[in-house]
Amino acid sequence: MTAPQTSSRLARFEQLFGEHQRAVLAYALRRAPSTPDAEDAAAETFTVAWRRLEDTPSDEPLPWLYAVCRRVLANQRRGRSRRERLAAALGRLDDVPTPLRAGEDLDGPAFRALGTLSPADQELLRLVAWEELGNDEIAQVLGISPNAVAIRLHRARGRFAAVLKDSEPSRTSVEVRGTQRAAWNGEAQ
Amino acid sequence: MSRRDGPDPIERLRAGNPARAADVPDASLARVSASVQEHIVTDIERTSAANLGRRTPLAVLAGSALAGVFVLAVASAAGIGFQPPADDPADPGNPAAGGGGMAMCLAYDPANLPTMEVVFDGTVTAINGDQVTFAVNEAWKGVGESVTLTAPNVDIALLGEMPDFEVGGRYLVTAAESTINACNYTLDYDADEAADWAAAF
Repeated sequence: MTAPQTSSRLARFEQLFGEHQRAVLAYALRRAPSTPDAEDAAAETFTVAWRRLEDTPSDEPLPWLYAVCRRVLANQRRGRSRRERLAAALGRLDDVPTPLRAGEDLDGPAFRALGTLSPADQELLRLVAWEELGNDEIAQVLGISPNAVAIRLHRARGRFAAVLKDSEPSRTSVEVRGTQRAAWNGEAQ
Repeated sequence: MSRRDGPDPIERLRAGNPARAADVPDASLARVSASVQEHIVTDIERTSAANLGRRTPLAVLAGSALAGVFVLAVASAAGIGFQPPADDPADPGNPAAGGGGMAMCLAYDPANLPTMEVVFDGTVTAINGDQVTFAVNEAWKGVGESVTLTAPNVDIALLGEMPDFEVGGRYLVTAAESTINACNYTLDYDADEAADWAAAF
């Protein structure tokens, strides 16, 4: 690669990184068990983008970046599961979760309801609620067709509403940390 | 957004967004920038050295350019235990098209399932390394009562899904050449999805 090619590549990456670093890190923070894990995932996402810069969509790169980050987080989870199994076998657990943000006015029943859904349903609803993506963009993130997104989202929304409705009589806004963590981490209860 | 049967329940999740992009801490951004910068500079230096047999002014040029890109990163570059991604594995069992270049997933559509070599609904009975054994609940194609398949390491840039297999977990599985397919063609079990898979045969 020549120096001008490298400079051009760096310029394009600089723009990509500058425009989307916050969104990608926020995506990771909403799903990783700790801030360092989220930072690692965001960093790895952009190193993949650097390696794959020629394959990165130039018009709407964010869904592509979310898709990469999603894979990075899944790999992290697998690695963590292996470490935890090993640590449990050794009779210790060093991987202490980082406390979640305190003092937020979060909707406890909604997070509890989310935590009861399948991982696939949870991720669909998160992509709509937190990343505020449309069906076409979600399709890019999940690698499925927009039509499949529409169908799955309809079902997921229905299941979420049903669980939420059942939980309403006992609605409170406290003591939801366990469910929140599971929901944020993409783990079903 | 309101719906005919009342407020959209997703609005309640939206209101509880636990990490808005605008609120991402600058310190976290700086650590991410440092990690990325470190990786890219190393990558460029390695490429330059490989191409020219020694460290060249190109690496210096690239490093200088990056210093402008990642202005937040300099002070905290050593704080992250960053691991570069693994090389891309060839993964012939996946419904990924193209050879030699970047793998691309076949768009998910249950109508494609009859073209797969192995398709079933199964429950994991054992995991031994990357070997996963399933008891088959419903065999749609190419499998008997039980089967052991290889769970590949899915490339992080291969944009598909692969469940985290657990003993006792139930999954909808496709495979080729004894290797489980990624690209959304292997899923956590869902009754509605299973009905769609059944309807494809």
